[in-house]
Amino acid sequence: MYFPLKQSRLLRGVLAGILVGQCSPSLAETAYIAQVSRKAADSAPMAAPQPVQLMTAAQSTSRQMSFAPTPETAVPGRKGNFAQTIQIGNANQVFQSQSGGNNVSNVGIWGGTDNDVGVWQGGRDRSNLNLINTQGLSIAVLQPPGSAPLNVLIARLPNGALLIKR
Amino acid sequence: MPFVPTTAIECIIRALPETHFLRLEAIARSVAPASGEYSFSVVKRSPTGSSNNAQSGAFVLQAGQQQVLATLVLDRSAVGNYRAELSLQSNDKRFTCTSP
Repeated sequence: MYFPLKQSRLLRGVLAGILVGQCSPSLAETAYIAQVSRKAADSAPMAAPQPVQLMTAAQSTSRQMSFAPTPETAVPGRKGNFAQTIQIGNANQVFQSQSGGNNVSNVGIWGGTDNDVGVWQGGRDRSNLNLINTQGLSIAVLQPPGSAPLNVLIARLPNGALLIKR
Repeated sequence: MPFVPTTAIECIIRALPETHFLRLEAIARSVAPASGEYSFSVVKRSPTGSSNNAQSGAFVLQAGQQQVLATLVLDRSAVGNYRAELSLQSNDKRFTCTSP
């Protein structure tokens, strides 16, 4: 069947739209699996596919912010305390107090000025606090022993609004 | 990386400059079994800002064991602009080391 170039593009677009529309989240197979023949899959052991990321991206309706530590800050399980203070800005102050053990505290100030952050952890606590382009904020994090992990992002947006994401 | 040699416990602050960071590790080492309390405090004053970090807890060392008691990561501007002190308290004895 012959289609002019313009119609061919239109047809492909329609087909792509139909395929996307028919791909419900309940499908077990991903596009990645479909590209591998059964024979190849049986003969060559492969690492397990990771559809989780694909499904999460496709199904997610509400975006959840997570603050995974960077490779430099990745902390293996330990009994001791770990604190990180990253300051990229001017005149920021950070105080971190950790007692007991197995605490992890990450404080990042990215491009802000005159911010004052205090973190107190009593043991087995984890917190990640990041400030982006904020000015003059005073923030205290108090975590008694065994508190729930705390992840907070506070950012001054280009339109002047203050974003607070937990 | 100063350390205080003793008959039983060594107190070490290891400073590890990295590309964008300065990693400080508070380390205790013992030739004999030992236990006690530690406190690790770091003060930094640099153009990017100031920070005070205080970490404390208990430690238990086996003979010949080296243990990282606490770790602090600062931005690279801390190099040359910080003061760290590690104190170990064990059996009524106190061991202290500083960095730099």
